[in-house]
Amino acid sequence: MRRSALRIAAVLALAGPVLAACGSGGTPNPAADGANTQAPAPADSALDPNATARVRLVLEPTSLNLTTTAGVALEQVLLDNVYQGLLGVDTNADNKIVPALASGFETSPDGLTYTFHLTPGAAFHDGSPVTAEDAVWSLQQVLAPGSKQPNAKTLATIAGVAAPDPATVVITLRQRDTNLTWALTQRQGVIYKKGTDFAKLDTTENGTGPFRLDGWQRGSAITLVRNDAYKGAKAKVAKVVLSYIPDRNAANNAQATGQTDIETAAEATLLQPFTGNDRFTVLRGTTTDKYTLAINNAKAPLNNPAVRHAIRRAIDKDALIKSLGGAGVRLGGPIPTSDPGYQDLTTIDPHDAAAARKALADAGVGELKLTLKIPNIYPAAIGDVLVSNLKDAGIELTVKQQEFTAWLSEVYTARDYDLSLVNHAEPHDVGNFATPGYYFGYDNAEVRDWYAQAVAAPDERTRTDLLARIGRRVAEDAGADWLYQAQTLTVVRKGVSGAPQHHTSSRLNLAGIGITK
Amino acid sequence: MRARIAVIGVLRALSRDRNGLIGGTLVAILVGAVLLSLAWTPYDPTAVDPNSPWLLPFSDGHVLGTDMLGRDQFSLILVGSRETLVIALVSAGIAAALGVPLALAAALGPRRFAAGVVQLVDVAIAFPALLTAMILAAVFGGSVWTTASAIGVAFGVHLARIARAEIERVAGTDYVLAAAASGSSTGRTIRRHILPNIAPTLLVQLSLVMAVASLTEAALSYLGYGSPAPAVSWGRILHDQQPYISARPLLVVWPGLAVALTVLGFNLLGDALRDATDPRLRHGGSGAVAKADGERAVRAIRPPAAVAGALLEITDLTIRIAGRTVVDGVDLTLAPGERLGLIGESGSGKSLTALAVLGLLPEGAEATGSIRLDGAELLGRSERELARIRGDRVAMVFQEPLTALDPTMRVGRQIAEPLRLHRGMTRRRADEAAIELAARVGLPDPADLVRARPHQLSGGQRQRVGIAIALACRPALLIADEPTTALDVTVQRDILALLDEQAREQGTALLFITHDLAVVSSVSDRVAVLRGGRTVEQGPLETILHDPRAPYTRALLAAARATAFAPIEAPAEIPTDSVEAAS
Amino acid sequence: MTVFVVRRLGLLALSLLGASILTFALLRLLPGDAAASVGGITADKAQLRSIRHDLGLDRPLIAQYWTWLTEVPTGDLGHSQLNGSSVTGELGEKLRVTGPLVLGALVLALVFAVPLGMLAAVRRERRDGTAISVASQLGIALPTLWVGLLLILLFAVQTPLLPAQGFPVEGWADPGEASRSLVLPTLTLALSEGAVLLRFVRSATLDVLHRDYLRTARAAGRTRTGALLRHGLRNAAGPVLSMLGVQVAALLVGAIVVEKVFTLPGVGSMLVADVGNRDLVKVQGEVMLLVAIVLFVGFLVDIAQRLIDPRLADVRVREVTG
Repeated sequence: MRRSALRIAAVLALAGPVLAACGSGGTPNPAADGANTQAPAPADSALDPNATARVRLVLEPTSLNLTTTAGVALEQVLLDNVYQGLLGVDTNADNKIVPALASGFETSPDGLTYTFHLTPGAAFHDGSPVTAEDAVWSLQQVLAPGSKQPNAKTLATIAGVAAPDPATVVITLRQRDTNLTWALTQRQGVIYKKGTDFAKLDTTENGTGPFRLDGWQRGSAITLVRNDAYKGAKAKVAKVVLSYIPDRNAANNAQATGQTDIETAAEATLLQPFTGNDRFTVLRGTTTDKYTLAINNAKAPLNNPAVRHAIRRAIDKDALIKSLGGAGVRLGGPIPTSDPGYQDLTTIDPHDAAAARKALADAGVGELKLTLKIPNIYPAAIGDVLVSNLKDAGIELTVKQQEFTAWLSEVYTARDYDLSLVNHAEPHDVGNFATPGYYFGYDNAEVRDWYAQAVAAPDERTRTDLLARIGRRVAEDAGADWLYQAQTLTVVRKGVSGAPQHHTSSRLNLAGIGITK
Repeated sequence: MRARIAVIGVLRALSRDRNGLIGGTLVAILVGAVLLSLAWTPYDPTAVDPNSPWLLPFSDGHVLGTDMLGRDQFSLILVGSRETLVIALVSAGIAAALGVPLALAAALGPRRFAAGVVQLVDVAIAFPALLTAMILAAVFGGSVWTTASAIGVAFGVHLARIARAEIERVAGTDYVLAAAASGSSTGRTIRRHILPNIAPTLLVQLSLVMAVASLTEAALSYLGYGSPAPAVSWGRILHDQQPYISARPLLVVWPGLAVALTVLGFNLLGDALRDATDPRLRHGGSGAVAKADGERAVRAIRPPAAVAGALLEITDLTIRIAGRTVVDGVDLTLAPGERLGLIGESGSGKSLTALAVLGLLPEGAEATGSIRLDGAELLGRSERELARIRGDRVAMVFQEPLTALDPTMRVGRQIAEPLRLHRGMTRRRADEAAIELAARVGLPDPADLVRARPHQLSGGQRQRVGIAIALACRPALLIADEPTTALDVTVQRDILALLDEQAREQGTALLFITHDLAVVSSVSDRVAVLRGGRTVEQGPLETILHDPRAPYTRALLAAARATAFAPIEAPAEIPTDSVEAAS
Repeated sequence: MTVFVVRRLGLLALSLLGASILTFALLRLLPGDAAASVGGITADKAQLRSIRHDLGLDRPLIAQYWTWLTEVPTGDLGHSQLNGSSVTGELGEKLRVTGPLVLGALVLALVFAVPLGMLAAVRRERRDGTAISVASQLGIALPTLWVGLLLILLFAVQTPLLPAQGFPVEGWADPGEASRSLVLPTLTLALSEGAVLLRFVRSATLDVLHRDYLRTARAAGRTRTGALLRHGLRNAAGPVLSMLGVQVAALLVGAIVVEKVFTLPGVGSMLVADVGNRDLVKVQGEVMLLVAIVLFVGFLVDIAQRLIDPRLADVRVREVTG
């Protein structure tokens, strides 16, 4: 059935694009597209060790300096591939924390001392071995007063770092911190060679990962080459070209015409060229991308929980996800599926436009006019759906699309907004709701207290329970609305194996990519 | 008042013009769509319907189908027209509000100030408009206003540049100078005299601004700096649908078509406005009057046997322009070396007769009859064949020396041109010959003068250059079409003497066209009198002067004697039928 | 002539100075700054302050402008506020894409617009002339991005003749591949600009078509076409040339859209990205480059016009002898 439909479409395509559209009527169901697993990688002997893998990415970093410049675009390219910390993350196993430059670690019973054992043979790209002294120096740079590391505060519980011997690093804490190991897997945990000039990281690179930075054609591509001296599992291709193609259609064309081997972040509504086509595999992966509708809790009338609940009820999330091609799952609270503390909270504030309208009237808010500020990197369709949904509940919504930098200064820093939409992609970020100064404007003493307890929790179970409690409370307070947790679609050309599947926008481990001879 | 009359005239001209009609219709459709959208749309354009995404046209009452959010495309396009029209109008308004004062300041302000304004305008033109729009959108949030302001400012400075030239032209005209001299205040002069006169140019430019505004809106929306929801614009529809061009091309076709047709409408309207306000084109009429040479109907009637030994023999030459007969059966004969004066009032067809000999009739003119040169028929020859004869066997000197020469080319090169064309001379030899020719026609310092350009010469000198060009190849026949009319009286005599002397020296036959009997008597052996496109009388100079037979000739002579110098105006009291009777 | 060139150069420098003030001031209106870009959503207020200080964003605007201004004449357009790369160096890199794109489009536009525009004028009452006119009107009316998308669909996706997007990572190392990736963008840009140019040529030709000197040339033995080519072209060149500065400006702006449609790493996409990232030192450099190109073309056009039509040079002579 599907085959014949395809054949018809193909024939019509020859007769011109307009006819093709008329012929391929009906609604595609992209939600069904995409495999959860990819074919097992062939034996190394079947792979071409000299191959170049070409990968489409969306957002180009503005700098290659992890110590000064924030942004997930840097981490996506540099973490795991070029730079490593003591610990890493396995994105294919629900972001499990795994060994990297440290082969293992022990925790003292009071949870205040962490002892890490360095991986034997680990070396910087200049050939010098990774020593405990390098690790101590690197972490001290983050902890130093005036540190420019954007994530420095996540290591604030560290009291001291020491190197009892060249292969051992000991971190002591002021108080228990269950977030420590996660923080060490991130950019703030990256180990640089002692004495590295951080000001020059944009032009010189001396990492420890399986790839070396080869070049950056600004506005176009970043090139990585295999580090042949790497002691761990070596990269399976000699070179990776990361092409930045922001436009969804252009990226699709590039993949369909063979300009790229792997297309990350493929548009769900644009999968026709790839589905049911044995030249391509479409991988569906999980992310921690929470498309969060921030509601300014500090601004009237949004400081009234009833109004916030009404807004939440007005939005038809299922329809929204469907409209966007089905590449997402509903998320009723601040914690994504792969994070500790996740529970299904979608029953809170179910969609009901009439109830929302009534709730607004009850709250004494008749004509409500709101402005939504949304960075222009996100699909405009989201704004269109929200306008339509809120209109049904009697709210007149105006959308203001702005550049991300403008958003940062107006919304994030100055908190001048009613509603705002941003993809909060970071995992483990429920703490934002326990930070009163955060732009959400949400402040609940209990939540703050629970979060502090969770951070200092003696065991994983206590921590998870507390986080779950926070998640529920924030959702019940309508601290924000969560439109959906995005899924990521990756299109892989036949003959390419080991493509990253999950969490590709924050970490993209390229070492496993192989290309068949 | 004047402006209103001008506008009405323009509108009338527009309705007759095909471009104007199409452009007007397209713009009217746009305005209609805007009005309709205010009253009614088939669906709520912003309402999403998750259950009917991507419907094909004409399904479920969706004329143009739906997009991925299930929104009705027809309603969206309809409502989008508002944004386009508002942006177009506001851009044009801002452009006019900025451009006109700037232009006035630059054209009429104190010298230094004006120079400053010109400088500012130059810089502003170089500044990319799209960037201004991006900055404005970033500062204030993208909207109709940011887009329109950026476009309006960018094209305001453009407009200033164009309007400035126009104002300077208008300000230099006699009536504005007169108004200023009679103590009219600057403000009043601007209001009463300048603005009404630059209004047509402004209208044309503003219609172009509207076209560009519609395109820029699309580009800005595409770059993410357009108006966001709930505003609907064609640019944004285009932007939203463009990723689906492969899968759903129709969705990209509608907004693209809407933008294209609107821009086309504004542009065609602008073109038609320009045509309607351009006097040059208005006279010729942009209708189907003119026909290019290939289609020129030429009917050569074989006349009776050629007169033996005649150099030029014109028989029953009839010329029609746009269905009107302007030359009606003229017969003329010219022997080698003979000097024939062709006399008649303006509009008598004498110039057209001469131009017909060279095959230089204006487009759309049809000539029938026969023109034989050396016994060979010229009518019906191709442009290429005629070009071979022109400047070689037959040459011509024109009336207006100020415009007859190419202003950009050194005069020596222009004198050398026939030599290079007909004698195949090398550039160097032709240049040398040009100096000789310049000397022969009495130009001072010929070696230097050939390096000058026409604007550096006086009127008389330019006419000498014209004669040098004509005589370069020693033509058998030289046609001179009122060669002295545009010159000072003192210079006239020198030029006539030169023509006479050169024609005699080279044995060149001279066909001298004039309305001035005094002139004719000094350079002619024979005279032909033309009136209303017909030969009234023809004969030896003496006979015509002393024993004219046609009443028209008599009246002509009487008028010439009454005012020795004044050019002769047509004696209107002589009825046409008496001319008929006389001939 | 020398005096004119020197004076005109002085004006050029003055214009550039004016443009630099305009550019600098306009860009400071933008909300958000480079520090926000660097700090992202993780930096706290103290860190942002410190980043701002490091970038010199807390210095008085006049001082910032002065620093930039004094560096520009040395050919140093400053360094990126985000990654410290040299703006001059990166512009040089990007010009290798945008330069051939814009120049190619200009040449292509001229090659088609000049003869077709003349033809459309000469034969405006005939079917071919009208057809050219109508086609040019359509060419102007179609949005550039629409044309680009259509070309991609037809010649890269449906019939994979040319690359659908992008520019080789190796740049011009493989000239064939690099040229191939510029074919469709150049065509897209040339189409809209060529159509506009065609209208100019047509109207300039219409203007000279009835001039007396063409009749003189024909009387001297040229054919209609010959006279038009020999004398009409020279005289129509003036008005067309005077539009060239504006045309180049339009091409550069058009390049911004075309580079985005085709994902080309050129000056246009660099500009859009840098405005978004508030890397204002880079934006200043880019805008100044674009403005300087347009002003310089204007300067060249003025000189060329004088060479073609010397009447402009000595108005005084005419007043004396006329």
